[in-house]
Amino acid sequence: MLSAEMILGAIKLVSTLVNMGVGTAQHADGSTLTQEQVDAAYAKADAPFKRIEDRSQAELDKLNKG
Amino acid sequence: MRKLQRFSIAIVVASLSVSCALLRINPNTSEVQQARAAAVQIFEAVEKGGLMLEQVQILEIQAFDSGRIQVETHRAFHTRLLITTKLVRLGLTQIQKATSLPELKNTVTMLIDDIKDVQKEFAAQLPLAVGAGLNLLITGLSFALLIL
Repeated sequence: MLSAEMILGAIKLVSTLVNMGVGTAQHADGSTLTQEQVDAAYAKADAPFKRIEDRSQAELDKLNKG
Repeated sequence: MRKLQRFSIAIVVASLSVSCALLRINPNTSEVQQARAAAVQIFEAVEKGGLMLEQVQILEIQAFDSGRIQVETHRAFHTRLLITTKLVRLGLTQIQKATSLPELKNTVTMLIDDIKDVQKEFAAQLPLAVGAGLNLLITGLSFALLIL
């Protein structure tokens, strides 16, 4: 049986997928990109992985303490 | 739960692959500009993949908290996920520094090799979700390589 949280998670997944198509080709037009824009895109890409890393580390810490 | 994980991973694989497949480079711009444009597009694709992988992780934690996942499976999931995210984050910093398309291509190739090494190292005990997660990264980055 799926819980409300799991259904909500699945909806978020689909929502992210739908939004995905919008941003992909934005920089393919040859417009000039500054290093700052590259750095900003890097920071955005890194953010979810940083959160995943922190969350996984916290889960492992909980297991090790328990 | 396993079905939902498979479904989630399938979405991540498909979307990251499509994102990278849509990567386009304008040959009329300077080398630095081409590298920056490619890097930004890879970052955007990886960000989307990361957001979805994060949702998979949250679902796994919720399932564990409600007693549907065993402790050892949970531990294995997060151990591998931790290694994978460290690899991806390192790869992202290298992509950020790339100043030409060949350099970017080498960086992406090295990142794929590193991920494959992790896969080999944990082949016998890799949980489904993380195994699929690594595969999605390899698939997505391989698509990017085809374009670079």
